[in-house]
Amino acid sequence: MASESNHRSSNSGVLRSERLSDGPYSKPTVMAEPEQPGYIRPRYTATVTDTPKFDLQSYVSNYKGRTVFRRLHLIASCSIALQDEAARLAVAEAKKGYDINNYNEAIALLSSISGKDAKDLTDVNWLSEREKKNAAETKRLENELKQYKNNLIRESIRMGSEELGVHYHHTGDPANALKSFNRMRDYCTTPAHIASTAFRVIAINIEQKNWLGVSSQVTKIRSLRMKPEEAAKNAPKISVAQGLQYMSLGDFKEAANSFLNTDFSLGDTYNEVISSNDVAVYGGLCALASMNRSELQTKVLDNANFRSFLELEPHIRRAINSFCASKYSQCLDILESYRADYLLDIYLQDQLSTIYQSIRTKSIVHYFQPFSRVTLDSMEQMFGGSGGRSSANLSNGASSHTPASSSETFKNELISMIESNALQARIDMENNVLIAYEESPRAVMQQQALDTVDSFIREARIKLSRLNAVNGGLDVKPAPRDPKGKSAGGMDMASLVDTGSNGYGNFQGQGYHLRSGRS
Amino acid sequence: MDTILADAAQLNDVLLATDESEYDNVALHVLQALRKFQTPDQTILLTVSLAPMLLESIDPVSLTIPYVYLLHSLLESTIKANHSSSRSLPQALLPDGQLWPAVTAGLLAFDPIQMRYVGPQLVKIVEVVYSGAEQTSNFVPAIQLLQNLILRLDPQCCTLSTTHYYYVKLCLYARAYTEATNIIDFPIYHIPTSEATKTLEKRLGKYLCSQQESSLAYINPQSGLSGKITSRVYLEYYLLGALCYIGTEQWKKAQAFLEIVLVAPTQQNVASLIMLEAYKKWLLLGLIIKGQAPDLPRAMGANAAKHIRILAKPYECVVDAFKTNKLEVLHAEIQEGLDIWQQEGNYGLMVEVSNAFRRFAVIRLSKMFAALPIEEVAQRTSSSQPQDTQETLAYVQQLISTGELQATITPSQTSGLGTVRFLPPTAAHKTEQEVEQEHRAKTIELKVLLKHISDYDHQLAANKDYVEWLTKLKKARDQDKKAADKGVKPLGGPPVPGDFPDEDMMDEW
Repeated sequence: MASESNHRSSNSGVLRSERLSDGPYSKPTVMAEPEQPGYIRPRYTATVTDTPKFDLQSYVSNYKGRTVFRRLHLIASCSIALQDEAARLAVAEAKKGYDINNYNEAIALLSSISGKDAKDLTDVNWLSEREKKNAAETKRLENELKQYKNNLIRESIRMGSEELGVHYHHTGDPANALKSFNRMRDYCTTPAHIASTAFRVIAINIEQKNWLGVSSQVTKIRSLRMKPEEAAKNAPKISVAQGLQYMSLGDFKEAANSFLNTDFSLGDTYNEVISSNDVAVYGGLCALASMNRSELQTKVLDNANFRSFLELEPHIRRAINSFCASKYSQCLDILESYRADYLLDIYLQDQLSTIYQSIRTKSIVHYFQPFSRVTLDSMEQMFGGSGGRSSANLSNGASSHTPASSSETFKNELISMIESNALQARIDMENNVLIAYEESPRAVMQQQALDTVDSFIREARIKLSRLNAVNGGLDVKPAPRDPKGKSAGGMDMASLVDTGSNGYGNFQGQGYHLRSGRS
Repeated sequence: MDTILADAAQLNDVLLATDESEYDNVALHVLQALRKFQTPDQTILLTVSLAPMLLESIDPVSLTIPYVYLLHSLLESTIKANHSSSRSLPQALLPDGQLWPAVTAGLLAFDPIQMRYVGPQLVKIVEVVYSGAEQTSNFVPAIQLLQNLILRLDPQCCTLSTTHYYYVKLCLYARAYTEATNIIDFPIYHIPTSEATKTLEKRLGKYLCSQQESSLAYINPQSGLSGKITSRVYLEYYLLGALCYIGTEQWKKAQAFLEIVLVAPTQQNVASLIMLEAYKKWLLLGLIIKGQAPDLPRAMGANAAKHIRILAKPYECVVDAFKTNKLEVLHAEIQEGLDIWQQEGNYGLMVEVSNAFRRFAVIRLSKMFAALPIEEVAQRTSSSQPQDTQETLAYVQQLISTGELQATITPSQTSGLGTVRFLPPTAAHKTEQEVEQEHRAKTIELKVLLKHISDYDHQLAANKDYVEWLTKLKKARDQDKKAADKGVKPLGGPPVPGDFPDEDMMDEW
């Protein structure tokens, strides 16, 4: 099985290296197909050529648990600059763990990167030993659980199930892990137990990006009545989990609120999922994407709690600051310079282009707000260049995008913004000016009033007419059944025949010809 | 005969103004006398040559009752005498036939009050006129006669009658759409079916000749001034009316008419094919008017809607294609169903839809651009390859001249045909006076409408079902009260109607 999977992943490796030549950010790279039912292999949506700013070693040291491997795997798969180092680290990381699938994946990745045969890289001894050990451990835990069940001690059954679930999770069998945790819930007695079960389930769901599952567990924990100190301990984790869920589903406003409400006491308590730095980045980006300037000021910059998070990622604070100070190009530049970093983030990768695009859109809208007309050239100086390029590339993906002149791209961007009603303006193509759309509220109101009257009269007439028909007993009745027994699905057969002979169609046809004759 | 005529001569405005009961008496007496008179003397009337002379001696204006009565008998007997060719009418009754002048005279000049007494006879005459026109394809005289008849009988024209139905049909045959709109522009507020007038009877004026508020009082099954209105006549009247509006390009009115057809009451699990026809046209009209598919009327029966939508699938595909904002897609879709449109007579509308697409494309441009070179307009809206800028220029000019587009065309600074400069939205607004004037017009319209609504309220208040519902409601409330007295919480009983006629209207929906 191992060799087969190696073979397959090395294939996809070739596929990817061919694609790398496409451009700085190119679109989906198909990874090895899922080998094991119940486990969803991640598919990555970007390939990053730029060197990210972070140091891989220290980045990875922020996390613990299975997320370390997944992050390394992602970086090894997507980043050109770091793929070698990341793949090696991933192999080492996998070897530390219990999951042989992870190990195989890492080896496959390494072999595709280094070009060496997977068989030479694999530590066969470790693999077989690990496999044996895992199986033995599973057996041991299952037997223990059986015993507890015979003894009918609730607490022991709970702990046994939990251990088994954790073991399944660590060996990469989430389906069975979930089963165990579900069993465990039946034996929970205190809210704290229920909460811990829920967190275990959340961890699995987040790893699998099953966001619906996350939200249901979050509401479950929220509804528990816990001791204040426990609640305080759980609260930041919950808001983070919820924030992740909202962000991944594209609801940036809610995501921003969740992250902003996360207490700084989170620290590294939840780094099997997320680090405090991540909270700062996610919160900052989501807020930038969804809030207006005053909200950003009050909810983000003046938020003492979130400020501590922002200390960890000062450039995010700088970006927000410059947005609030109307220095949009500065803000976008800062974000742009970190694009590579964020594309290598396990949760941000899928959403980054949307987030960046909405920040950009918002910047343009805010920039234009005080003006009644602006020349396109000056706007282009402000927003043209890098932002336009990357957004176009990201949205078009790997399609062979012929680079139109940047001003053309910028114009098209503006047009699509106007079309989607994000920007209240019109473009004067002759003088190359963007003109604000002005409406006279009074006239609009008057027109609305007239329209309302019209539609009321129309509706009332139609309804009166119907009432009259009802009152007059003019219901359309089913046609008397055809002797042959056909009833055409409840249609009025009599009218079918009549319509044919009356030929309303002809009327219309004639009508049309008549009109065309006249005009 | 002379005595009858003498009696009938008493029926004049003076008598009507002074003594309605006497007028009614005399009128009924004349009728009775006519009936008696006819039986023995049938042979006289049968001789076609003689009757016109008799009719000529009667003035249709002052002696409407005898005139119409005799005319009717004459027609009947002529048809009977000619029963060999059962289907078609005898030559004498056709336009320009021997008896035609008599018919014309009777329908052109008559006393509308007296006419109320000879309803059944009149309906028969109308039928003869209609079939005659149909038979000879000589529609114009018939249209003129019927229009005159409808408007004289009921100046407000708010009660549907079979005459309406015949009239609209004739107009369609003759493609006289403008004539048709003269009648169908009047909103219909009453439908004279026996069910509808049952509750009305007691509230009707005493006599047929009385001054009435609504024409339903004399146009009803009792007076016989309208033939039997069936659901088919009702539906067809509105569908045909809509076709007339389509013929005159009054899209909105046409759509409203079609909507009436769509929301027509149906028995469970039944839909009429007329409704299907209406639905197809209604969808296309939505595209022409607003550039998008209209929302299905809420009052439409869910079951009927389901049947209809399945059968109108090709049309919904066109709507979807329209929504894509891509001209190629729309054209491909229209091309695909060419046979269907032609067979069902909707090809003309499809062409209109295609035109509308272009119109909306240009209007959409005006929301995005303040100024755009013609070449760009062509590139963004036209389909022809290579873009025909001259044609586009002409098209935009036409849009501007019809007022669809608020824009000017200025010569271009660079080479090219020119630049379309879309005016700011403020330019499109009406002046204060215009707005005020419109408000006033709408107020009047509303007042009329509200009066009819309150009339209808009264009528519904007397409805048997409604009264039963009220008693049921009262019972339930009493029970609730008792329960409350006992200290038990009332279960959610039926809502208490504050404004009860309204409540019933809502109930219907």
